[in-house]
Amino acid sequence: MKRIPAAAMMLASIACVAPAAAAVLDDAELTVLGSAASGDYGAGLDVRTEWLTVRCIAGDDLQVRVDLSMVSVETSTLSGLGPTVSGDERRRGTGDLGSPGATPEGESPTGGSTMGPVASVDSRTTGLGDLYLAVAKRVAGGGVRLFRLDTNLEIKVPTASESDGLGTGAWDYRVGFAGEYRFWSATTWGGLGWNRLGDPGGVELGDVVDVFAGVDSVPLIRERVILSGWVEGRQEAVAFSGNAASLGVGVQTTGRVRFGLQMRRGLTGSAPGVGVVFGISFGVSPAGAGIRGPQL
Amino acid sequence: MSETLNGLRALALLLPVALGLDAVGAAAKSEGPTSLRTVEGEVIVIETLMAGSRSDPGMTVVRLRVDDPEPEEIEVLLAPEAALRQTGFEIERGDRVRASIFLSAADRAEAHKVLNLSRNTMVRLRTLRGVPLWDRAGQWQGGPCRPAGHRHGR
Repeated sequence: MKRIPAAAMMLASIACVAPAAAAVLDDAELTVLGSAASGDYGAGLDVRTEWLTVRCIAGDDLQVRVDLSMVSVETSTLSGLGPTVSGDERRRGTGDLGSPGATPEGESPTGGSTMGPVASVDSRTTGLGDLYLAVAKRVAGGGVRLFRLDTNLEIKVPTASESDGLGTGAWDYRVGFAGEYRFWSATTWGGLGWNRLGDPGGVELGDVVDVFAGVDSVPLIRERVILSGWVEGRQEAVAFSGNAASLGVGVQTTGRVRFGLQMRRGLTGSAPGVGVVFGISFGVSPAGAGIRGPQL
Repeated sequence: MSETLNGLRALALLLPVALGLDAVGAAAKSEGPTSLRTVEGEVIVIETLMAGSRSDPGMTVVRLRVDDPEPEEIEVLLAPEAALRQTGFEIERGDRVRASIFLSAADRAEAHKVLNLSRNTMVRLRTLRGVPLWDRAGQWQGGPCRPAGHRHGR
Protein backbone atom coordinates (compact mmCIF):
# COMPACT_ATOMS: atom_id res chain seq x y z
CA MET A 1 0.00 0.00 0.00
CA LYS A 2 1.35 3.37 -0.95
CA ARG A 3 2.48 5.37 2.03
CA ILE A 4 0.31 8.30 3.02
CA PRO A 5 2.22 10.78 5.19
CA ALA A 6 0.83 10.69 8.70
CA ALA A 7 0.86 14.46 8.90
CA ALA A 8 -1.32 14.75 5.78
CA MET A 9 -3.78 12.21 7.14
CA MET A 10 -3.87 14.03 10.44
CA LEU A 11 -4.58 17.38 8.86
CA ALA A 12 -7.30 15.86 6.70
CA SER A 13 -8.91 14.26 9.72
CA ILE A 14 -8.82 17.45 11.72
CA ALA A 15 -10.35 19.38 8.84
CA CYS A 16 -13.17 16.85 8.65
CA VAL A 17 -14.01 16.44 12.29
CA ALA A 18 -13.11 19.72 13.96
CA PRO A 19 -16.14 21.84 13.07
CA ALA A 20 -18.63 19.13 13.96
CA ALA A 21 -16.75 18.11 17.06
CA ALA A 22 -16.53 21.60 18.45
CA ALA A 23 -20.26 22.04 17.95
CA VAL A 24 -21.57 18.83 19.44
CA LEU A 25 -19.06 17.58 21.96
CA ASP A 26 -20.54 19.00 25.13
CA ASP A 27 -20.30 15.69 26.96
CA ALA A 28 -17.37 14.08 25.23
CA GLU A 29 -13.90 14.75 24.01
CA LEU A 30 -12.54 13.96 20.58
CA THR A 31 -8.80 13.79 20.16
CA VAL A 32 -6.71 13.32 17.05
CA LEU A 33 -3.24 12.05 17.82
CA GLY A 34 -0.27 11.78 15.51
CA SER A 35 2.37 9.54 17.03
CA ALA A 36 5.75 8.26 15.99
CA ALA A 37 8.13 5.89 17.71
CA SER A 38 11.41 4.44 16.65
CA GLY A 39 13.62 1.90 18.27
CA ASP A 40 16.60 -0.35 17.79
CA TYR A 41 15.51 -3.76 19.00
CA GLY A 42 18.89 -5.39 18.56
CA ALA A 43 20.12 -7.96 16.03
CA GLY A 44 20.10 -5.31 13.34
CA LEU A 45 16.42 -4.54 13.57
CA ASP A 46 15.25 -0.92 13.54
CA VAL A 47 11.55 -0.23 13.64
CA ARG A 48 9.86 3.08 13.04
CA THR A 49 6.13 3.26 13.59
CA GLU A 50 3.69 6.10 12.98
CA TRP A 51 0.11 6.20 14.14
CA LEU A 52 -2.78 8.49 13.41
CA THR A 53 -5.34 7.87 16.11
CA VAL A 54 -8.83 9.23 16.53
CA ARG A 55 -9.91 8.91 20.15
CA CYS A 56 -13.30 9.59 21.66
CA ILE A 57 -13.83 9.72 25.43
CA ALA A 58 -17.27 10.18 26.94
CA GLY A 59 -18.55 10.20 30.50
CA ASP A 60 -17.03 10.97 33.84
CA ASP A 61 -17.74 8.53 36.68
CA LEU A 62 -18.31 5.90 34.04
CA GLN A 63 -16.09 6.71 31.13
CA VAL A 64 -15.85 5.04 27.73
CA ARG A 65 -12.97 5.40 25.33
CA VAL A 66 -12.57 4.30 21.72
CA ASP A 67 -9.29 4.51 19.82
CA LEU A 68 -9.10 3.85 16.11
CA SER A 69 -5.78 4.16 14.33
CA MET A 70 -4.08 4.15 11.03
CA VAL A 71 -0.59 2.76 11.39
CA SER A 72 2.51 2.79 9.26
CA VAL A 73 5.46 0.54 10.06
CA GLU A 74 8.90 0.85 8.58
CA THR A 75 11.42 -1.83 9.39
CA SER A 76 15.07 -1.84 8.55
CA THR A 77 16.83 -5.16 9.00
CA LEU A 78 20.44 -6.08 8.61
CA SER A 79 20.39 -9.57 7.15
CA GLY A 80 22.81 -12.07 8.65
CA LEU A 81 25.56 -14.29 7.29
CA GLY A 82 24.53 -17.33 9.23
CA PRO A 83 21.73 -19.74 8.63
CA THR A 84 18.29 -18.26 8.84
CA VAL A 85 15.01 -19.82 9.62
CA SER A 86 12.68 -19.15 6.76
CA GLY A 87 9.37 -17.51 7.36
CA ASP A 88 7.67 -14.42 6.11
CA GLU A 89 5.41 -13.97 9.06
CA ARG A 90 6.45 -11.08 11.20
CA ARG A 91 6.42 -11.25 14.88
CA ARG A 92 5.40 -8.43 17.04
CA GLY A 93 4.14 -7.48 20.41
CA THR A 94 7.03 -7.86 22.78
CA GLY A 95 7.45 -4.17 23.33
CA ASP A 96 4.39 -2.12 24.06
CA LEU A 97 1.04 -3.80 24.09
CA GLY A 98 0.41 -4.55 20.46
CA SER A 99 3.15 -2.33 19.18
CA PRO A 100 3.76 -3.13 15.58
CA GLY A 101 7.22 -4.03 14.47
CA ALA A 102 8.88 -5.07 17.72
CA THR A 103 10.17 -8.62 17.78
CA PRO A 104 11.75 -10.84 20.36
CA GLU A 105 15.31 -9.83 21.04
CA GLY A 106 17.70 -11.52 18.66
CA GLU A 107 15.22 -12.38 15.97
CA SER A 108 14.71 -10.66 12.68
CA PRO A 109 11.22 -9.61 11.68
CA THR A 110 11.31 -12.21 8.94
CA GLY A 111 11.69 -14.93 11.50
CA GLY A 112 15.38 -15.63 10.93
CA SER A 113 18.20 -15.46 13.39
CA THR A 114 21.04 -13.12 12.56
CA MET A 115 24.73 -13.69 13.09
CA GLY A 116 26.37 -10.86 11.20
CA PRO A 117 24.95 -7.93 9.27
CA VAL A 118 25.84 -7.66 5.62
CA ALA A 119 22.94 -5.83 4.00
CA SER A 120 20.01 -3.66 4.96
CA VAL A 121 16.48 -4.69 4.03
CA ASP A 122 13.87 -1.97 4.35
CA SER A 123 10.14 -2.32 4.16
CA ARG A 124 7.13 -0.18 4.93
CA THR A 125 3.47 -1.03 5.27
CA THR A 126 0.50 1.16 6.07
CA GLY A 127 -3.02 0.25 7.02
CA LEU A 128 -5.73 0.15 9.65
CA GLY A 129 -4.40 -0.27 13.17
CA ASP A 130 -5.94 -2.10 16.08
CA LEU A 131 -9.16 -0.89 17.65
CA TYR A 132 -9.02 -0.17 21.38
CA LEU A 133 -12.13 -0.12 23.53
CA ALA A 134 -11.91 0.88 27.17
CA VAL A 135 -14.20 1.46 30.10
CA ALA A 136 -13.21 3.18 33.35
CA LYS A 137 -15.36 3.22 36.48
CA ARG A 138 -14.81 5.59 39.37
CA VAL A 139 -14.17 3.64 42.54
CA ALA A 140 -13.49 6.47 44.96
CA GLY A 141 -13.04 10.20 45.04
CA GLY A 142 -13.43 12.33 41.96
CA GLY A 143 -15.30 15.57 41.45
CA VAL A 144 -14.02 18.26 43.79
CA ARG A 145 -12.26 15.75 46.04
CA LEU A 146 -8.50 15.82 45.98
CA PHE A 147 -8.10 12.18 45.05
CA ARG A 148 -9.71 9.72 42.75
CA LEU A 149 -9.34 6.04 42.03
CA ASP A 150 -10.67 4.40 38.90
CA THR A 151 -10.65 0.84 37.71
CA ASN A 152 -10.48 0.21 34.01
CA LEU A 153 -10.77 -2.50 31.40
CA GLU A 154 -9.23 -2.18 27.98
CA ILE A 155 -9.66 -4.51 25.03
CA LYS A 156 -7.59 -4.50 21.89
CA VAL A 157 -9.60 -5.72 18.94
CA PRO A 158 -7.11 -7.05 16.37
CA THR A 159 -8.27 -5.06 13.38
CA ALA A 160 -4.71 -4.49 12.15
CA SER A 161 -3.39 -6.86 9.54
CA GLU A 162 -1.04 -9.43 10.98
CA SER A 163 0.20 -10.50 7.58
CA ASP A 164 1.16 -6.91 6.73
CA GLY A 165 3.03 -6.57 10.00
CA LEU A 166 0.71 -3.96 11.47
CA GLY A 167 -0.46 -5.88 14.51
CA THR A 168 -0.29 -9.16 16.33
CA GLY A 169 -3.61 -10.40 15.01
CA ALA A 170 -4.57 -11.39 18.53
CA TRP A 171 -6.93 -9.98 21.14
CA ASP A 172 -5.34 -8.31 24.15
CA TYR A 173 -6.93 -7.40 27.44
CA ARG A 174 -5.86 -5.06 30.19
CA VAL A 175 -7.38 -4.55 33.60
CA GLY A 176 -5.99 -2.01 35.97
CA PHE A 177 -6.34 0.86 38.34
CA ALA A 178 -5.52 4.51 37.89
CA GLY A 179 -5.53 7.23 40.47
CA GLU A 180 -4.46 10.74 41.14
CA TYR A 181 -3.99 13.18 43.96
CA ARG A 182 -4.29 16.91 43.49
CA PHE A 183 -2.05 19.30 45.32
CA TRP A 184 -2.37 23.06 45.27
CA SER A 185 0.22 23.48 42.52
CA ALA A 186 0.44 20.05 40.89
CA THR A 187 -1.40 16.82 40.33
CA THR A 188 0.29 13.47 40.77
CA TRP A 189 -1.11 10.40 39.08
CA GLY A 190 -0.27 6.79 38.46
CA GLY A 191 -1.60 3.42 37.54
CA LEU A 192 -1.04 -0.30 37.52
CA GLY A 193 -2.32 -2.78 34.96
CA TRP A 194 -2.27 -6.45 34.13
CA ASN A 195 -2.13 -7.31 30.46
CA ARG A 196 -3.30 -10.55 28.93
CA LEU A 197 -1.54 -10.63 25.59
CA GLY A 198 -2.84 -12.78 22.78
CA ASP A 199 -0.24 -14.88 21.05
CA PRO A 200 0.66 -14.03 17.48
CA GLY A 201 1.53 -16.98 15.25
CA GLY A 202 4.66 -18.76 16.39
CA VAL A 203 5.33 -16.58 19.43
CA GLU A 204 4.05 -17.14 22.93
CA LEU A 205 3.68 -13.94 24.87
CA GLY A 206 3.45 -13.94 28.62
CA ASP A 207 1.05 -11.89 30.66
CA VAL A 208 2.68 -8.69 31.81
CA VAL A 209 2.23 -5.98 34.39
CA ASP A 210 2.61 -2.33 33.49
CA VAL A 211 2.98 0.63 35.79
CA PHE A 212 3.17 4.37 35.30
CA ALA A 213 3.41 7.45 37.49
CA GLY A 214 3.70 11.11 36.74
CA VAL A 215 2.94 14.67 37.65
CA ASP A 216 1.08 17.54 35.95
CA SER A 217 1.64 21.16 36.76
CA VAL A 218 -1.26 23.46 37.38
CA PRO A 219 -2.09 25.46 34.27
CA LEU A 220 0.72 27.94 33.73
CA ILE A 221 1.19 31.07 31.61
CA ARG A 222 -2.25 32.59 32.18
CA GLU A 223 -3.65 29.08 32.68
CA ARG A 224 -2.89 28.15 29.09
CA VAL A 225 -0.20 25.49 29.45
CA ILE A 226 0.13 22.33 31.52
CA LEU A 227 3.51 20.63 31.81
CA SER A 228 3.77 16.91 32.51
CA GLY A 229 6.42 14.33 33.25
CA TRP A 230 6.19 10.63 33.96
CA VAL A 231 7.90 7.26 34.03
CA GLU A 232 6.37 4.05 32.78
CA GLY A 233 7.43 0.45 32.78
CA ARG A 234 6.32 -2.92 31.51
CA GLN A 235 7.38 -6.46 32.21
CA GLU A 236 8.98 -8.50 29.47
CA ALA A 237 6.49 -10.49 27.42
CA VAL A 238 9.11 -12.89 26.08
CA ALA A 239 11.77 -14.44 28.26
CA PHE A 240 15.10 -12.60 28.18
CA SER A 241 13.74 -9.76 26.04
CA GLY A 242 14.00 -7.45 29.02
CA ASN A 243 11.60 -5.20 30.85
CA ALA A 244 10.75 -1.92 29.17
CA ALA A 245 10.97 1.43 30.90
CA SER A 246 10.50 4.90 29.50
CA LEU A 247 10.58 8.50 30.62
CA GLY A 248 8.16 11.01 29.15
CA VAL A 249 7.59 14.74 29.17
CA GLY A 250 4.74 16.68 27.69
CA VAL A 251 3.06 20.01 27.29
CA GLN A 252 -0.62 20.65 26.71
CA THR A 253 -2.62 23.79 26.22
CA THR A 254 -5.98 24.33 27.89
CA GLY A 255 -9.29 25.58 26.56
CA ARG A 256 -11.98 24.17 24.34
CA VAL A 257 -9.47 23.24 21.63
CA ARG A 258 -6.31 21.84 23.17
CA PHE A 259 -2.95 21.09 21.61
CA GLY A 260 -0.50 18.67 23.11
CA LEU A 261 3.01 17.49 22.47
CA GLN A 262 4.80 14.65 24.20
CA MET A 263 8.20 13.10 23.92
CA ARG A 264 9.17 9.75 25.36
CA ARG A 265 12.62 8.28 25.72
CA GLY A 266 13.26 4.60 26.30
CA LEU A 267 15.37 3.85 29.35
CA THR A 268 15.90 0.19 28.49
CA GLY A 269 16.82 -1.61 25.29
CA SER A 270 13.43 -3.23 24.87
CA ALA A 271 11.54 0.07 24.97
CA PRO A 272 11.17 2.22 21.85
CA GLY A 273 14.14 4.57 21.72
CA VAL A 274 12.25 7.76 21.00
CA GLY A 275 8.57 8.46 20.75
CA VAL A 276 6.74 11.66 19.87
CA VAL A 277 3.03 12.41 20.09
CA PHE A 278 1.27 15.46 18.78
CA GLY A 279 -2.43 15.84 19.31
CA ILE A 280 -5.41 18.13 19.24
CA SER A 281 -8.50 17.69 21.40
CA PHE A 282 -12.00 19.09 20.99
CA GLY A 283 -14.81 19.23 23.47
CA VAL A 284 -15.24 20.39 27.02
CA SER A 285 -15.64 17.21 28.99
CA PRO A 286 -13.93 15.53 30.66
CA ALA A 287 -11.84 18.57 31.40
CA GLY A 288 -8.17 18.22 30.62
CA ALA A 289 -8.36 14.56 29.67
CA GLY A 290 -6.78 14.99 26.26
CA ILE A 291 -3.09 14.51 25.82
CA ARG A 292 -1.60 13.89 29.23
CA GLY A 293 0.21 10.81 30.44
CA PRO A 294 1.43 7.82 28.44
CA GLN A 295 -0.06 7.81 24.97
CA LEU A 296 2.30 5.69 22.92
CA MET B 1 15.16 11.79 15.72
CA SER B 2 13.33 13.49 12.87
CA GLU B 3 10.02 12.95 14.71
CA THR B 4 11.46 14.75 17.69
CA LEU B 5 12.51 17.69 15.60
CA ASN B 6 9.20 17.80 13.77
CA GLY B 7 7.36 17.67 17.08
CA LEU B 8 9.39 20.51 18.48
CA ARG B 9 8.79 22.55 15.35
CA ALA B 10 5.06 21.94 15.64
CA LEU B 11 5.08 23.01 19.26
CA ALA B 12 7.12 26.08 18.44
CA LEU B 13 4.52 27.06 15.87
CA LEU B 14 1.37 26.22 17.78
CA LEU B 15 2.07 27.37 21.30
CA PRO B 16 2.61 31.01 20.34
CA VAL B 17 -0.64 30.85 18.35
CA ALA B 18 -2.54 29.50 21.33
CA LEU B 19 -0.94 31.92 23.73
CA GLY B 20 -1.33 34.79 21.30
CA LEU B 21 -5.06 34.16 20.96
CA ASP B 22 -5.28 34.15 24.72
CA ALA B 23 -3.43 37.43 24.92
CA VAL B 24 -5.82 39.01 22.41
CA GLY B 25 -8.74 37.81 24.49
CA ALA B 26 -7.18 39.16 27.64
CA ALA B 27 -6.60 42.53 26.06
CA ALA B 28 -10.23 42.67 24.98
CA LYS B 29 -11.31 42.10 28.58
CA SER B 30 -9.58 45.07 30.10
CA GLU B 31 -11.87 45.15 33.14
CA GLY B 32 -10.42 42.01 34.67
CA PRO B 33 -9.28 41.72 38.27
CA THR B 34 -6.04 43.42 39.03
CA SER B 35 -4.07 41.09 41.27
CA LEU B 36 -4.12 37.54 42.51
CA ARG B 37 -3.18 36.61 46.02
CA THR B 38 -3.18 33.37 48.01
CA VAL B 39 -4.53 33.43 51.55
CA GLU B 40 -5.24 30.80 54.17
CA GLY B 41 -7.60 31.01 57.09
CA GLU B 42 -10.83 30.00 58.78
CA VAL B 43 -14.37 30.54 57.56
CA ILE B 44 -16.20 32.64 60.14
CA VAL B 45 -19.33 33.68 58.22
CA ILE B 46 -21.16 32.27 55.19
CA GLU B 47 -24.02 34.11 53.55
CA THR B 48 -25.98 34.07 50.34
CA LEU B 49 -26.64 37.44 48.75
CA MET B 50 -30.30 38.27 48.39
CA ALA B 51 -32.04 39.80 45.40
CA GLY B 52 -31.47 43.53 45.31
CA SER B 53 -27.99 43.34 46.70
CA ARG B 54 -25.28 45.23 44.95
CA SER B 55 -23.60 42.03 43.77
CA ASP B 56 -25.15 39.04 42.05
CA PRO B 57 -28.17 37.63 43.87
CA GLY B 58 -27.69 34.06 44.96
CA MET B 59 -23.94 34.50 45.23
CA THR B 60 -22.29 32.72 48.13
CA VAL B 61 -19.98 34.95 50.17
CA VAL B 62 -17.63 33.83 52.89
CA ARG B 63 -15.84 35.93 55.45
CA LEU B 64 -12.40 34.54 56.17
CA ARG B 65 -10.30 35.17 59.23
CA VAL B 66 -6.98 35.02 57.45
CA ASP B 67 -3.83 34.09 59.36
CA ASP B 68 -1.50 33.63 56.41
CA PRO B 69 0.24 35.66 55.13
CA GLU B 70 -0.93 38.18 57.76
CA PRO B 71 -3.91 38.40 60.12
CA GLU B 72 -6.93 40.14 58.60
CA GLU B 73 -10.55 39.52 57.68
CA ILE B 74 -11.58 39.32 54.03
CA GLU B 75 -14.94 38.83 52.34
CA VAL B 76 -14.68 36.57 49.34
CA LEU B 77 -17.28 36.03 46.62
CA LEU B 78 -17.33 32.35 45.74
CA ALA B 79 -20.02 31.41 43.20
CA PRO B 80 -23.80 31.16 42.93
CA GLU B 81 -25.18 28.66 45.39
CA ALA B 82 -26.56 26.51 42.56
CA ALA B 83 -23.22 26.34 40.78
CA LEU B 84 -21.42 25.34 43.98
CA ARG B 85 -24.02 22.66 44.60
CA GLN B 86 -23.49 21.29 41.08
CA THR B 87 -19.76 20.95 41.60
CA GLY B 88 -20.26 19.22 44.93
CA PHE B 89 -18.07 21.75 46.72
CA GLU B 90 -19.23 22.31 50.29
CA ILE B 91 -18.05 24.84 52.80
CA GLU B 92 -19.17 25.50 56.35
CA ARG B 93 -18.36 27.82 59.19
CA GLY B 94 -15.19 26.70 60.90
CA ASP B 95 -13.69 25.11 57.78
CA ARG B 96 -10.07 25.93 57.12
CA VAL B 97 -9.47 27.00 53.54
CA ARG B 98 -6.73 28.15 51.23
CA ALA B 99 -7.87 30.41 48.42
CA SER B 100 -6.37 32.31 45.55
CA ILE B 101 -8.39 35.49 45.31
CA PHE B 102 -8.61 38.48 43.04
CA LEU B 103 -8.23 41.77 44.82
CA SER B 104 -9.96 44.66 43.16
CA ALA B 105 -11.28 48.11 43.97
CA ALA B 106 -14.57 46.56 45.07
CA ASP B 107 -15.15 45.79 48.72
CA ARG B 108 -15.16 42.04 48.19
CA ALA B 109 -12.52 39.80 46.72
CA GLU B 110 -13.43 37.13 44.13
CA ALA B 111 -12.24 33.56 44.41
CA HIS B 112 -10.17 32.05 41.65
CA LYS B 113 -9.54 28.67 43.32
CA VAL B 114 -10.50 27.37 46.75
CA LEU B 115 -9.03 24.45 48.66
CA ASN B 116 -11.09 23.29 51.62
CA LEU B 117 -8.43 21.82 53.89
CA SER B 118 -11.04 20.54 56.34
CA ARG B 119 -12.84 18.47 53.71
CA ASN B 120 -10.01 17.73 51.24
CA THR B 121 -11.85 19.29 48.33
CA MET B 122 -10.75 21.84 45.77
CA VAL B 123 -12.53 23.76 43.05
CA ARG B 124 -11.58 26.39 40.49
CA LEU B 125 -14.34 28.98 40.18
CA ARG B 126 -12.95 31.58 37.80
CA THR B 127 -10.30 31.76 35.13
CA LEU B 128 -7.18 33.81 35.73
CA ARG B 129 -8.90 36.63 33.87
CA GLY B 130 -11.70 36.50 36.40
CA VAL B 131 -14.21 34.97 34.03
CA PRO B 132 -16.75 32.95 36.07
CA LEU B 133 -17.16 29.28 35.26
CA TRP B 134 -20.94 29.49 35.41
CA ASP B 135 -23.53 31.01 33.11
CA ARG B 136 -25.93 33.88 33.66
CA ALA B 137 -28.48 31.52 35.15
CA GLY B 138 -25.94 30.41 37.75
CA GLN B 139 -25.49 26.97 36.19
CA TRP B 140 -22.03 25.43 36.36
CA GLN B 141 -20.17 25.46 33.04
CA GLY B 142 -16.73 24.41 34.19
CA GLY B 143 -17.12 20.72 33.37
CA PRO B 144 -16.07 17.90 35.64
CA CYS B 145 -13.33 18.87 38.01
CA ARG B 146 -11.01 16.17 36.75
CA PRO B 147 -10.79 13.40 34.16
CA ALA B 148 -11.36 9.74 34.88
CA GLY B 149 -8.74 7.07 34.63
CA HIS B 150 -7.80 6.71 30.98
CA ARG B 151 -4.18 7.59 31.29
CA HIS B 152 -2.82 4.71 29.34
CA GLY B 153 -3.24 4.78 25.63
CA ARG B 154 -2.26 1.87 23.50
